[in-house]
Amino acid sequence: MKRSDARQWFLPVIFTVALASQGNSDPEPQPQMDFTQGLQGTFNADWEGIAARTYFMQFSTNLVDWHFAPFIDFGDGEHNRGIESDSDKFFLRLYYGDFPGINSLDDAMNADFDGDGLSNIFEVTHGYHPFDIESTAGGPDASHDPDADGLGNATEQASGTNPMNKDNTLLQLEVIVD
Amino acid sequence: MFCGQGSAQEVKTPPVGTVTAIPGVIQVAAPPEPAAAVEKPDFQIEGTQVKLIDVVESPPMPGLPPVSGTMTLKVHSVADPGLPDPPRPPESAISAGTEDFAEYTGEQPKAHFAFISATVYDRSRTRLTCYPRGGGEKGVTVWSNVDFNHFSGISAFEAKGSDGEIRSYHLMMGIGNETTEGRRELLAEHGIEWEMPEIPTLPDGPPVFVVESQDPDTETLELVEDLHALYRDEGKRMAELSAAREKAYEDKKAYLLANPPKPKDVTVHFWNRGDSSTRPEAEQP
Repeated sequence: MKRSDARQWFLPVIFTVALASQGNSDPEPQPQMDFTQGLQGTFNADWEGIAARTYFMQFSTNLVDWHFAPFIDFGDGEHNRGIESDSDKFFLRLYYGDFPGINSLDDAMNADFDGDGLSNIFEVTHGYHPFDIESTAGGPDASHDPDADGLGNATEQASGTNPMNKDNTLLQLEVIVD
Repeated sequence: MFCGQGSAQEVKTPPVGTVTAIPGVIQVAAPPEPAAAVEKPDFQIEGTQVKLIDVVESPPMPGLPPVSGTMTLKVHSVADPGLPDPPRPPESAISAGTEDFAEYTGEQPKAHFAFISATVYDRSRTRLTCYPRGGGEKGVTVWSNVDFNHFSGISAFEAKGSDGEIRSYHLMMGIGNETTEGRRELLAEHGIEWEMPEIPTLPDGPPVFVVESQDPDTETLELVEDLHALYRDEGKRMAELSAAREKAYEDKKAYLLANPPKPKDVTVHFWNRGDSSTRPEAEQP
């Protein structure tokens, strides 16, 4: 078990950002997310989902720079996330929208909302913005090569390799023909 | 002796029969005791992203340069550590009977929430406006010979009147400082002549005040009297603690200038806690 100093972090600021509800002029209101203290220095973020709604979570340590949490949630029912951080200040917000053609969590993860060639789940799990084709200073997200192995993100995604690890090389497939 | 400009007004002193006390400890500037260490969950990491972020943060104290540098942000996706939900508050804490509550509160001194705005001129005279319960309509403005900087760090005090009534005050105080020469010179640089407020002549020594407001609210005036009674009883200690606080502030500022802080690296863990119906609830402590 790791030990850490207890900190008074997580200012009790929670808010939500509604993305465009395309094709739905009167979207169902989103219930407020509950943000409560958990056990062992953790925090719980719980919210009630709306059917066919895609949820991203963003966090910030300064209310200026917002980062995507590495997951996507979808649809109705309860959503319960756990969070722990050593930051002195921490802010959370839900980032959600109702998108036509997105009918399941798989749809939401595999879709490419900004059309840059990278799936939404690839973007949020690797630190990119799923609604911005150039969300870092390293150029377009699709061609960005954070591990400097000569393969851009789009290639790494297509190959199933880790864009953050240059030792994780392309999987070589050997085709044996009888 | 401060050179007042105002006309003669009635100088009031706090009632002799009022006794005051400051509950608890007056904070100086010593850091609070570190909280007890919390045993963090033993996370099983499933995925990690690392970002190097150039940040410029606001300075930790006024007059210091901003905190700038590169911070490392690590975001881990982890397996659910399986923590139970925190226990709900005990039933008895929620459903206390109203009669019990009335009996409890009936034994407590009457609580007053006072909002106070203080502008201290040349660390010598204070223009004080008090708003009981935050209401602006009953605000009372007085001039005082007390340096209200000495009230910083005090959030509550009690006063017992000669009639035996105990008044418990909770203070929300904003304190500003004005240096008349500095203000005059600053405005003169911009071609503006400063109209200094008309400060009544007040004697040095024991705390006194003159009322600027017309027909002041009686209850608010009582607060002003109690503030001055507190300074009469505790002023020496308050002044010493204020000086210690200022020294600690300057020491900390000098330290931070010599040892500029760098942005702190941050690590975040996220996990899916699953359905609440499958999670146990922690036992009551």
